[in-house]
Amino acid sequence: MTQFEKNESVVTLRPGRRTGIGQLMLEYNLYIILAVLLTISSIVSREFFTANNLTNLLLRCSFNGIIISGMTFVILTGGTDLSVGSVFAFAGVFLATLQRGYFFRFMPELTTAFEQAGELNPILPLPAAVALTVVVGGLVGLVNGLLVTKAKMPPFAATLGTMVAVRGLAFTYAGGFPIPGFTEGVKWLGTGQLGVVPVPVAIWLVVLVVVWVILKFTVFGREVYAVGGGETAAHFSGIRADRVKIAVYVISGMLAALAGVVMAGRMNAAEPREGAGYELDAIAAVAIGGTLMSGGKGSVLGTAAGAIVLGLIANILNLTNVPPYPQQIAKGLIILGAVLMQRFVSTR
Amino acid sequence: MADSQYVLEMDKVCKSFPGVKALDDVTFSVKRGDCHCLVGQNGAGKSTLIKILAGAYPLDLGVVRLDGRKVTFRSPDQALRMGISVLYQELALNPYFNAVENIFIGRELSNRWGIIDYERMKREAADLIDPFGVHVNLNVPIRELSVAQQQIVALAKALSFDSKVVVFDEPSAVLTTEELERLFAIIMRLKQSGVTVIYISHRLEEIFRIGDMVTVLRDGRVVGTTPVAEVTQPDLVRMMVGRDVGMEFPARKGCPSETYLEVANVRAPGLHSEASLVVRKGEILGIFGLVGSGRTELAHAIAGMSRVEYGEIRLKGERLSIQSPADGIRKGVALLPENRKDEGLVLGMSVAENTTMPIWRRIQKVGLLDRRELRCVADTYVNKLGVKTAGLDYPVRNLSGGNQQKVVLAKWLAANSQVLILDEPTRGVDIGAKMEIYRLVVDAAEQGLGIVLISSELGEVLGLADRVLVMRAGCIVGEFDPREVDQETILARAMGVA
Repeated sequence: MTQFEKNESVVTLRPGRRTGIGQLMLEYNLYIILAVLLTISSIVSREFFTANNLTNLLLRCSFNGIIISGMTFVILTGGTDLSVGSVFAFAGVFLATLQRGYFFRFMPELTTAFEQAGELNPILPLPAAVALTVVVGGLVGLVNGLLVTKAKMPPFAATLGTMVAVRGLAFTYAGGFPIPGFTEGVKWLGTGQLGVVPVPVAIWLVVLVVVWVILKFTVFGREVYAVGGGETAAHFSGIRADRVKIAVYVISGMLAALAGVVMAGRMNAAEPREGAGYELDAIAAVAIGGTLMSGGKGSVLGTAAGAIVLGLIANILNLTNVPPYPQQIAKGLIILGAVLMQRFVSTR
Repeated sequence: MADSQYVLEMDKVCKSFPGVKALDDVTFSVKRGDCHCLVGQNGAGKSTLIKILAGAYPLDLGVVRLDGRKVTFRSPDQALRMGISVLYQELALNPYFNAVENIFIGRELSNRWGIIDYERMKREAADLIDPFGVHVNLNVPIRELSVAQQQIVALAKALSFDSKVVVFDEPSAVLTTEELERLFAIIMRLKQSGVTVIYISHRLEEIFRIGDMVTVLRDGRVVGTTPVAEVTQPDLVRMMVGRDVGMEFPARKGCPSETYLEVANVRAPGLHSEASLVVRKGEILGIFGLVGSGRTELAHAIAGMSRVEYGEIRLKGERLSIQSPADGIRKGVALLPENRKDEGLVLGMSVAENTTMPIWRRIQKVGLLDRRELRCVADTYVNKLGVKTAGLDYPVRNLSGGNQQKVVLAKWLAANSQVLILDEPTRGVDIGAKMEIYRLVVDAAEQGLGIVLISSELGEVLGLADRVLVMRAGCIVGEFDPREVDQETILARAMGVA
């Protein structure tokens, strides 16, 4: 991760202060990468520029997209959140139990999916159930935040702990198997359409706009950047750095849970295995998106572009019929290439 | 070829950093087998000189000769192999390795199979350490040893390189009296075995205990080199102080009125006795102390960076409970910290954002930052203080040291502070910017702020302050009127000389 730390010089290069094509390319290199990938895609596959494929692409990106909107906050403060994949899975399982009339559903023994599925018996109206699930995700974030600030644990270690524990919680809650079946409302969250836009994509866009506004225009948003850019200086300037850091983990947990709800609706099943490795995809997207891993610089729009780059890579490889395992090799290399290219372009 | 009685000679050495001439034409010769002491105020150039000797800095001009031969060190490692080792205050040992591993780190002895020969290393380490007559457990990690024992390990490591010259950089700062006695005995033994010692200390009495020669540095120049037997402590203090080099301080008009800040019997981490002080409206209270005298700790306790263990802090008679910098700022107590780059500014953020950081929460409307107001406030103070910047949106990282410091000042003026604590406000800024900062500090006082000016530059404390407190070893050890006191008296008090 240290490779990003020396990128700081980018901070000084803003359009308007120095002009010229070179500067613009520096500032927008990520979007240039995106354009290059799009061009390649359209060349290698005729199916690429079909409405169907593009919608699909965005749909695939939207889950990761929602998660990384939260992850961006965390990384901007110089932290990281490995627990997002587990929270993502747990959220689905938790919502599934809520829809079966329980708040808690502890399965001491593994049972078959059929036995445990049970009748749908929602005890809360859908908005309340989703809100509660998101709050529970926020609670995991609160634990992360307290571990990082009050117990002064390195974010990597703290969220690694909660990642493992929450994954275990998801399995325990579910009794080890997927819980199939949700109410229509939940399914709509995952599969519905708003005109031509799939609901998950719409949710992602709303989240994106809200996060962008928070980071750019609110005091809290600027405090996030200040804490990431120089925690001691921010603290000495009267910013309650601990509160800011706790808040970013809470936000990350909440958005991971929201993404989990949407995914559960899409699959019409709560799968405790779901979302393993999502934390790494999320970190990769944030890194590709140009956010400094040491904090203080970056934007959620960059992150979104990073998520699309990742999605595009998978999409191209699928369209060109590359089998799954070699796909991973290619994906890894392309991530390295994209980040390296950014670094090369930004530091020259 | 030089006279062979000198093991080490520095001839007309110059070294500059941006804005500062750290060493100016320094000539410094050390006789073989001597204990040569080096004294000077903070910023006199001692550490720069040592770092050049240690190969940590390249020199700009001049020659360094070792045993009469010209040498150029490109790295600390090279200096070490040539026979110069430096024992810094913070020992460069790996705390998790034991003594043996530390001594042989990077050049472990191995047997003919390439396997580390731990027993042989241990024997050799014991041979190095035993002569000191101090028991050192070779099997435990260094961090479990006392500081004195750690110093011996560092020393043993130095000697294992067959060092001709061993430099002690303020070793006494971290030692107890008993440990210090042992160190002196060790230095004597080193001298007997033909090793030359360069000893740096703020405690003049130590120099008279063990020194043969003493060199005084001031403002990057050598003031004089004499045998220790031929000078007295007051002589040395006088040499260190010298006369001010044409420094003009802005005149003061207003006179301090009612009491603003009262610190009563405060104990806090780093303070070794209760501290009490009073700052009046419109007053500049100077605090002079050397590095490690507890002045920063006192500032941190007042401004909320550290916890006050007991005692009271009152502002205009109202008792304050300041738990964090945010509390302090809300009540009007602000600190310009010692370390501008890590503590004073968020370097990647803009001039406007840094200037307004403490008042973001005051200028928000329904959670949204009022950017127009922000820029308006920033613009006002940037102009008022004459910050030279390419624009309000320019990152402070790209500003010069003096202008960065002005941004920190602007920040606290914009926050409507009533008491402003300045911890080394002119550190690392050039002379022109210094004068401007003095001007701004005096202006702030005239406008009715209470100011605490902490500095290790005697000239600026005496030139600006209405009253001066002296700190030493975590205690306030005296109060002076700067119009009636000379630099020698204050420096002598800060150094614990009579």
